[in-house]
Amino acid sequence: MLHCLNTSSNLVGGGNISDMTVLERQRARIKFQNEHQQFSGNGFSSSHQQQFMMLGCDSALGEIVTNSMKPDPDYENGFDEETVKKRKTDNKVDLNSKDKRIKVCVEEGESKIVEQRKGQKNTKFNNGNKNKRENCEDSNSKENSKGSEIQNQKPDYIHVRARRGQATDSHSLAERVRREKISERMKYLQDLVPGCNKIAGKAGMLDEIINYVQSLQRQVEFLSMKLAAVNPRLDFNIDELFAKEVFTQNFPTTGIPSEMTNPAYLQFNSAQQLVSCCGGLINNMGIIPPEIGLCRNINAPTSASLPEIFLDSSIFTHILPSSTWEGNFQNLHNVDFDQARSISFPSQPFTGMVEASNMKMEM
Amino acid sequence: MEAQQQNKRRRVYSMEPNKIVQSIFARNYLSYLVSALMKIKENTSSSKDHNDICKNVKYEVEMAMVLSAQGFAWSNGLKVKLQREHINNVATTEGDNNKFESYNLGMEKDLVREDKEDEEKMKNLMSLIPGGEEICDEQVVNELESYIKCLHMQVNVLQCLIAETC
Repeated sequence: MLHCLNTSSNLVGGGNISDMTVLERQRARIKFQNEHQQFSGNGFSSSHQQQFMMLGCDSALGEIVTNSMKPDPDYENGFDEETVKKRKTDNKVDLNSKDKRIKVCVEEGESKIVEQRKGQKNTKFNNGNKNKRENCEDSNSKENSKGSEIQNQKPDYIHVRARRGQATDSHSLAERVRREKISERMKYLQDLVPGCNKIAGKAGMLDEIINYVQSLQRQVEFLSMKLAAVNPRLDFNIDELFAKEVFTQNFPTTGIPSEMTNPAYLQFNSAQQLVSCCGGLINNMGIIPPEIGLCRNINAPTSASLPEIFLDSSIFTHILPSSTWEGNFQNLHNVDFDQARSISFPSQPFTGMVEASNMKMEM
Repeated sequence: MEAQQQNKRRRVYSMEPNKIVQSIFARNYLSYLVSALMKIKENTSSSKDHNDICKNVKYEVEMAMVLSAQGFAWSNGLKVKLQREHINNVATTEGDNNKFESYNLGMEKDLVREDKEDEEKMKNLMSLIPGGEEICDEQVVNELESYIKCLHMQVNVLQCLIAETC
């Protein structure tokens, strides 16, 4: 066995001593597996114990390694010198974290790990080494992230495998887990940002999101400037509107404002319709429907008076708010405004509106 | 809604942002904004500079955003930023330019390695969100979602408002 180790060590060029040791270990395992089928567990454990003890590893790990190596078909072919580099080598061990992981490995049962390993080309254990070899990093990183994710399901431990070339302290590992979780949730953002559905990569999506947020912010800026320019003209329109200050007092969740003929209510209705559309928007997130239902209820009794108010009011005759908002909403919300307005009629089922708006938004 | 987690580094958490707030965001926003605009209109004499009016309007626009969506980390960040800027009378455009600059710098610094690229982009993204650098990693996505939604609604409300008054 020793000679096997020696020969394997010759194949490795460079790397530190611990690299070679681990490689030797791996190769020895595989060679022995190929030659001696019986050397699955016990035969290695003693030899590995010596090596592992050098690195402070548990022998059970070696056992697991051997068993997992077995079904991996690629591994047999991978003994060329070129592929040596492709193999992840364990080396520098953070004793504490590794002991933790090892315990978990043992408890998990080997079959689980075997299944994971089957899916992976390179069996990767412990911490990535600090050598900056960049071969096959991308493919491996994905597989290894899967591996870490699967093993993260273990309740008690946060079981993380550091990627190749990553720092090995627990802080960085924890950060890596966090970041992976974030990337999972990024897909929720795809629904929000238009045009993100086609982009698969995380980087591209981030770019899109950044662009979108920037454009929205610029839009807000531009609109506020426009509003500032328009501000003087607010004289006629809004003075009357807000003379009674109904705005801040209204929208009780239960009561219906009594000032139905109040021209300010026009703004109310517009805001309500805005809200109802936004409610449809937000319902994707699972906002409490009763709140939106209440909005609908408020809308319902006033819808009848709406056209009357519009006709009577001298302020808004030059605007047909419905059409304006239709345009706006269809442009911006991608919500069918007719559908949204239909919620103001009690006969229209609320869920229907939400579903319609949801459907529209997915488009 | 947000889980409070032990974290050695000091992070900003959203204190249970109210989801209901989102549903009435537009309502609140409109109410705050219009009343603020009224005050501006009353306060501005004819001799006042257009820039001042712009600044005030911008301030109110963003303040309305803060007040309408309380409970999110970004709304607090925005509030802090607004208060700072209002005191200094610094135009918010400068702040935005800084954001753009930092984003460009971030792009230049992008390394080849995928992870660092992502990190940089996340940092850029966080710099876009007011108070974003301090947001806990786990809540980044939630904050992003709410912020994007509120921005969206803000734009809609502003457009409606302008359309009405024009």
